[in-house]
Amino acid sequence: MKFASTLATKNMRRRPVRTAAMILLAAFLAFSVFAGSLIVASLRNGLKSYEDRLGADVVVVPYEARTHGQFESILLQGIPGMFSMSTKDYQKVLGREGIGAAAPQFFLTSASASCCSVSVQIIGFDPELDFTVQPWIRESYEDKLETGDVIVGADLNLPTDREVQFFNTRCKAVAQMEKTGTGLDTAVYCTMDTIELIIRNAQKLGFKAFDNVNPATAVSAVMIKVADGYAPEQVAGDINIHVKHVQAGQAANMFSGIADGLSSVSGIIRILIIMIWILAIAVLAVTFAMISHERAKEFAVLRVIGASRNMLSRLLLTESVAISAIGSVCGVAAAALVILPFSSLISTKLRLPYLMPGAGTIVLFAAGSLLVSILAGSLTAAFSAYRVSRQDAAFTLREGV
Amino acid sequence: MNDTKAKKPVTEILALLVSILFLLGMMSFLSPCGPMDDGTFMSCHRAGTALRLLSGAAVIVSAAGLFRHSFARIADILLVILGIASIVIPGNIIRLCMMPEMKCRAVMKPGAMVFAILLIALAVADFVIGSKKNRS
Repeated sequence: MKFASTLATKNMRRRPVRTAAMILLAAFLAFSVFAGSLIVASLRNGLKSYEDRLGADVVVVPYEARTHGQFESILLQGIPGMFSMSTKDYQKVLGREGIGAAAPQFFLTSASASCCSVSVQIIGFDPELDFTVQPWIRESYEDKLETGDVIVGADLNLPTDREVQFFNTRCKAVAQMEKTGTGLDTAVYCTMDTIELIIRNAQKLGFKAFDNVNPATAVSAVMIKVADGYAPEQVAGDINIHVKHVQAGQAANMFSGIADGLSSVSGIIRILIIMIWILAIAVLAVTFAMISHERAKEFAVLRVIGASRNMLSRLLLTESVAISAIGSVCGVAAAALVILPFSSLISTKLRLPYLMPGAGTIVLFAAGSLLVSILAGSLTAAFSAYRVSRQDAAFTLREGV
Repeated sequence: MNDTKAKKPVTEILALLVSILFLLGMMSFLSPCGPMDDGTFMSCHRAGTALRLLSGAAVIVSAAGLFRHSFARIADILLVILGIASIVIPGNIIRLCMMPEMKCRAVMKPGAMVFAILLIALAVADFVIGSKKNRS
């Protein structure tokens, strides 16, 4: 065994460029599997989180907001949006049959937060009626949310004094949400009283967007849990028929569109991985075949001086295992360096819910990718190793192959 | 053996290359946003300046370690310190922007982290290899 590994090491060192190229190919195998599986798992996590986060069976928004996709943009991409329905329409929605619980929310965009030049999504909710925001508060927050208190999304970077300002309204971040992998990770949540204060200050500052908004009764969306005995489809259909200017949609239908997007991305990733694997394995197999052909005389001499057939095949396999192992470790490390630190950028570019799995799962994926890549890379030399062990030493030496 | 004719370790050459790439990156694709409309800078600007200084220092230290063998081990230790500083400073000691899609958080901080990890790994590898050679 020691002879095989010593000779394999010497052979690898003798041709450093070829060895480096083969290690690179093995690295591609591991990189593609680890990076691909991590991205697909993050997308799946994000979709599940999106589903859980919505919390509602039916969502009612103003008709224009739904047709322009504003609501989905807020949820998915964190693109701030602002829209409202009339109080009359809101009351009509509440009066429909089949509503078990209804939680109003108001969506507001800031002009710019005090620290940076992009606007922030502010979502007002009623703590007494809410069932979609409070379950996701990460830090334990037992106190009542006062006017001016806000809860921020997981991805927002808070200043040390935890104070933020919107339209000259000073607010204090009292808690932070759990990460959801959706656009809501960059939103700020507060009570309707705080929303009212912010809107009044914005109106005083002369922002035209708030001219027609009544801060005391503003509602952008109604999150509905259907009552027992009613189906979401039934309740949504009833609202769409009887309440004008609003659009009620089943939460499940929102997911199906995103699930389709997720399937497409996953499919593309799978195809890329398969293509990389076919190419890399083919090149590695051909290279090992070339190595065994090139060293045919060397193997024949070893046979003549007493090396067994097993030892010859072990020589080649040791080399392939070493190359695959080194390459796989490099590939997994490179994938970790790309995917983990840049997850925020990947999430922004994909425009889909994206939530990285936990550390334990990532380690499992890394270990699995290493194993699979080392195995596959090692097996590329299997046929050549078999041929080498079967060659006739005398024939090889005589024919000058 | 004549010191100047000794083969340069691959790790030291790679460390210098990585440092140069880090510095070039901080001056181009990794740099944070420019000034706002009113001419003031966002809080991440100072983090960008700090990273430029750290990457510049890494270039000098790794070059010194490569061309003066006696300084090589000290250079390795300094590179580890510079790498750790490049990871810790943005976002912890110097605040970055609030929103995750801002360039400082989406590109600068993770990019600096990648270069810092590579520098630390190369410095540690060089230290271990160099120490083994000295002992033998």
